[in-house]
Amino acid sequence: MLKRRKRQTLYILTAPILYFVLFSAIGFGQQASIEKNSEAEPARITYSPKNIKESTAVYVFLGWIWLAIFVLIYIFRLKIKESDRLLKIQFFPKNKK
Amino acid sequence: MNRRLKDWFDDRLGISIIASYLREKKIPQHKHTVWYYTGSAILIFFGIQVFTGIMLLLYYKPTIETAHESVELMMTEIPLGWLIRSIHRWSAYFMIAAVFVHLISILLTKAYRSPRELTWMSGVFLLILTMFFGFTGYLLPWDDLSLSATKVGTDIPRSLPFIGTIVTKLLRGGEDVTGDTLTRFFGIHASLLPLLLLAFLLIHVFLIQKHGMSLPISSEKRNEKVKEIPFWPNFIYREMIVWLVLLGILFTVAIFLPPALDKKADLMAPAPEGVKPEWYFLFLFQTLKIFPAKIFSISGDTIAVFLMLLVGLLFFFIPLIDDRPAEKKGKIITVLACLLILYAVVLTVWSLL
Repeated sequence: MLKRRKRQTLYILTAPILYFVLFSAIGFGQQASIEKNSEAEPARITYSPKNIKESTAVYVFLGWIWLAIFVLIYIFRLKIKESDRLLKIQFFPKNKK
Repeated sequence: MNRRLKDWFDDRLGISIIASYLREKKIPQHKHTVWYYTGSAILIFFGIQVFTGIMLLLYYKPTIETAHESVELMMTEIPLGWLIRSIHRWSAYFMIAAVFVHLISILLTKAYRSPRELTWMSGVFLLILTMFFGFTGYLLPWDDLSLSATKVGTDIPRSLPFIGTIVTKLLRGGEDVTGDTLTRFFGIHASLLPLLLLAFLLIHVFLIQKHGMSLPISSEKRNEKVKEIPFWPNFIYREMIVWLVLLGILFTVAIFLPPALDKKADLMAPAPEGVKPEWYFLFLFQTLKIFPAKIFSISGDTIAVFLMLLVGLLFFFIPLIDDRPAEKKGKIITVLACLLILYAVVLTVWSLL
């Protein structure tokens, strides 16, 4: 039951991340080259999100990443505990092929 | 169905042999185990470099007329182009830092000793290739700073007698840094270096598998049995946690500190003030600066370059110089390594001030 819930949580968390990563990557790949019509060249171009929509999207994306990282770390810690326990009790025979 | 599919692939690819090998492979657990993680961190950052590099390749145009414009287009018009470029740049920094930490840890724990001499040497080659990646990649945006830094960087070998001018010409594709240099650097950065790095990486990984992980000197000395855990799955889960944290830090830094783009390089314009190379070259740059113009009628730059080459060669051949048994402490090497690290840190900070 607990395992199933964990898996569900993992799916729920990874879906938005995959959405952001895949769609932004596709968008990046499909964008046609845009003609530049600036007259005076700026001295130094620094990029930060242009508007509130874009900056919100980026920060929400970052938030999801960290949330997913924490959940995955929690799951991996459980996995480590379990695999260490199996090693301790010598669950797997030594010369298993 | 699932089982049959697995068996089908297993019959053809021999996956179970690899899985069995990974399960049999043991990783020693001791107070220096933390350094084992730096190797896989380099691999992760290299993977990110390849992925983001391919993404950037979709838009980058390596000519002096279009290089700057294409990078500007990526940063301002292409959706998340700035983020891809930022991740590429920061991942390169992280990768170089990880390579430095990895080599220093091996140097301090004396893991280069017999039978791992070739593992160390292939590792030093990988460090050189990684730094050359950074050097060639720095010019590609074709902005003011990158042009000036490349001029300074490619001028350094000129101090060497006989071969100096040839090396500089070979790097630049002529007397000066021009469009030919840009095309040349792009070719080296995007095709030659990845192939070389992959080849050396395969050799390096093969040697690590062949000789196994080194043990701390204290354990070798006492000839004691160190606790071991299987690589799969016990160690790989621990590594995954490290990768996740590093990825999180990389994304955060890339989002909050995207690299800027200077104004387009002008071949005729004088070099801007305060030209500095990337942080990982700063200690070499500062070394050149502190040398006087002439020492006993010999150019100071020539002596500095010779000294740097000498230190580099000593660094490369250290397993042959310190070829004592693994259990010997090697205090002199430790002191020299610490001095070298201190020198690099002090000169880097000095250059930044």
